[in-house]
Amino acid sequence: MVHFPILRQVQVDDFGLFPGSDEHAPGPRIDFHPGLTLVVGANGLGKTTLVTLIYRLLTGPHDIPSLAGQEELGSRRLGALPLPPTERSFFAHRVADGAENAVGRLSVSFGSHTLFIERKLNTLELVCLTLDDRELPADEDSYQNTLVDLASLGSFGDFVLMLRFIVFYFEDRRALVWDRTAQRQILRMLFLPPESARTWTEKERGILETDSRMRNLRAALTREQRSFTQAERRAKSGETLRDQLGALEQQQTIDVERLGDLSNITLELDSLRQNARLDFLSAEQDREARLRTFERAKLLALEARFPSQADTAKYILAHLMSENECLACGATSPEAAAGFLSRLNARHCVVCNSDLDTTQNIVPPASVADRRVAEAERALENVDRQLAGARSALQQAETAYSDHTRQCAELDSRIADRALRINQIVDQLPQSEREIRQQRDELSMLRTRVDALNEELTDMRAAFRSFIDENTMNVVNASERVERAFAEYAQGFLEEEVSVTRASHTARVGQGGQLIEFPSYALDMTGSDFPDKVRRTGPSDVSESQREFIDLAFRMALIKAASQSGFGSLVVDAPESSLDVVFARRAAEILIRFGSTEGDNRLVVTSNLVEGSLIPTLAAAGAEDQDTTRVVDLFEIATPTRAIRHAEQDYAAARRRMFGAPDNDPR
Amino acid sequence: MPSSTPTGDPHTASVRRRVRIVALLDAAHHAGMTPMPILRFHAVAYLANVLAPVWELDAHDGKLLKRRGGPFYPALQMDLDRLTGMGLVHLTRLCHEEEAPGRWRLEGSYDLNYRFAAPVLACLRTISEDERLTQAYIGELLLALSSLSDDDLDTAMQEDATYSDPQVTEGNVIDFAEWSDRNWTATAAEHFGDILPSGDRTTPGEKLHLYVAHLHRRLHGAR
Repeated sequence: MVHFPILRQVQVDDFGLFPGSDEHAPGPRIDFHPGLTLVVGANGLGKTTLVTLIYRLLTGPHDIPSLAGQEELGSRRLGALPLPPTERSFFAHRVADGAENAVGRLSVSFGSHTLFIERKLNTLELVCLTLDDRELPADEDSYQNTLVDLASLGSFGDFVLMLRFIVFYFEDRRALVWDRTAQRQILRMLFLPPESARTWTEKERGILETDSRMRNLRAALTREQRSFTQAERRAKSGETLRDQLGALEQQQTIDVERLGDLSNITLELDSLRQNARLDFLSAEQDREARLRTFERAKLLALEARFPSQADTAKYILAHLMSENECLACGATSPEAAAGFLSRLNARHCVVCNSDLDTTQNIVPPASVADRRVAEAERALENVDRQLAGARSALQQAETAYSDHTRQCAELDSRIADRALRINQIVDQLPQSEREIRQQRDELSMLRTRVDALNEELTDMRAAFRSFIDENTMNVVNASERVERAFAEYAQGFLEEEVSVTRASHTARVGQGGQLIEFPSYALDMTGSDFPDKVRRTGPSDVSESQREFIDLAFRMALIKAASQSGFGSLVVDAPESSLDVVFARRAAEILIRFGSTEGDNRLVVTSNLVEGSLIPTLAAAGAEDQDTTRVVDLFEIATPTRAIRHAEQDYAAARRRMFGAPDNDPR
Repeated sequence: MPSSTPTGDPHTASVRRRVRIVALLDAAHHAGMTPMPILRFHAVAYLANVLAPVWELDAHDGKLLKRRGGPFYPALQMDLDRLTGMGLVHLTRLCHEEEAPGRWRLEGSYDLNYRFAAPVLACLRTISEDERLTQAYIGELLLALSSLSDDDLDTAMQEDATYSDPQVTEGNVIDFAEWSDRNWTATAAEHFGDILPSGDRTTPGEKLHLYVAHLHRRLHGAR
């Protein structure tokens, strides 16, 4: 459990981009009260700059390289490193005076402690740092250590991960809910004690480094082997052997590369067959439930005509009429089923065809063919189609996987046989020169080192796997809280039923070794053609409009489940881009749910003045709750661009439409 | 490895399931556990799969979907339906129960009809050594399980090491012998054997009884 940063206040002085609206003050000050702060602007007014400024006040001149963007987190090094000069001078390049005197100040709380940070904007250098009004040394090491303690995290790199994957929702965001490798790190950081979270990272890093070292050594071995063979070939007589050796070496290199390529897709094919199996088993269970529903409906209709029949007889006939299958002989007999059904509909005894109109036990045919029976039948037909599709998909996935592994095994065996043959040929060549012998010795030593490193790596992987097994209980124990919180936030956003559920993610650490199961979450959702929830494994499995807000609800759920206080901050940059009218209103409701004033959450949303219902709905929420919701109008505090000056009247009209009467200052 | 997933010959898979059903119900009959309600039958079928390595046998089906209501194998149920239709199995107290709104399941109690099942059982005892071993294993398992009360058996999954593994949540696949070998139940049963003074001499049957006794203790609050 961690402490998420709770943003309190940001102040920017002497920065040309944000002169502010008060001519007596050197710049704007924004107070973040519990609830929503809406930052409204237009292209070029500095929305993203403002969000980046808050982010950089927290990270200082350090970050995890290449964290932004759409690339998977994968096995990237997760330590925070100094920013390259161009990124460090991001704010200096935004204004004419190089932001020489510009400073940014941020007050932020972690639990019961409040940290005050002041940085020069041109270099991001720390000017002043206080904790609960007590001055601390203004150096980055001291700042990072203090922050890691306050947030109960394992490292400053983890703090950057927390900001990038949970707190700040940048325009170039990557959806966490579908990024299993990022989830692996986020769940580690949020739910493991700091010491264990740090040990995890160190062990993983150790494996990756050793793995990389081994691959380099192996490449060197291959090079040496090639050069040795060539040298040997040159030195040896026997043209046939030499040619044979050359051809074998060439083919060996090709096959080794091909095996590497094939190994890379094994994991992907395994994941596909795992998902296909889950879909099939789920469809099988759904089909069972639908069949029994249909069967029961038929059984109820039959019951009136079989007042004295044994259970087995009724059951056999109901099954025949719902499945066309005779349980007595196993034959499929739609004709018999149709015959029985027509007797049933004609109010005749199903067994002897006697007219039952004259008997006491009359059930109107309508009770047999009533809406519920028809609905149950349709549902069964639908789920039958799904089951057939899932069965076929599983067969294909299993075939693809087994073909692939067979191919790998065959190739591996060919490589091993050829290596043997190469060694045999090399042994047949006369060893005449001292140099070659020496080279061979060196090669042998190199091979021994590769083997030793390989063994070390195997041990490290086994130890890491045990560590993961022992240390993921905290994640497991939190899953109910995460699932409940997600359901709470996502409720009402979609017509479909949606839930996150904990499901293991299998991955390798490095480029080989055993598969390791890491905890992660998967998304299950119903759809127009899926009456029961099915797993959505990637962002392309849901519509553009749904995608971002499902991910936002997931982040909100993680904050609620992992925060010691239950609260945190969420800074969302431009969420409206992919939303249509209906979804914009629902998205606003999700945001308002998180930014409810009953708690201590801080929600900062930036948006352009766009047509649609997101901003008006958020602004209306603000109007209902004047004490806690603020609108920060960048038209008031930022330097207008030429385009904005040119279209000043248009923008003013748009703001009036969104925020009401002209004299109603949105702030 | 045998499986209910649709990769092998469906007819052979169905025959294997029917043989398993007959063996389970015969053993249940001799252990005084029949007629056996559906969900209890599926729970016993699951335990027979997950504990098979203790007897050095392969699981009949090495995976299943984790459900709130406990183990349920739809393909096995279909074959149970077929055997009912053939007259090998008696079905009594038939009804449908609503598990969740709009989702019904079959309820009823099963017993073997020995008039038709006897030739099948006689054949199984002589057809191969493997089948004979499997029969012996299932017989021993059901005898061990008969020491549990009906209520205990119906809630046993809450304490079974593999089914209650918190790493696998409901709606996900429990894979203990298909593509993975994480069988905590068999590991626990083996472990109980190892810690006894008899050590290596503990028989597979004793291990089954020890695991069932462990389930009983867990169900009654011991940790």
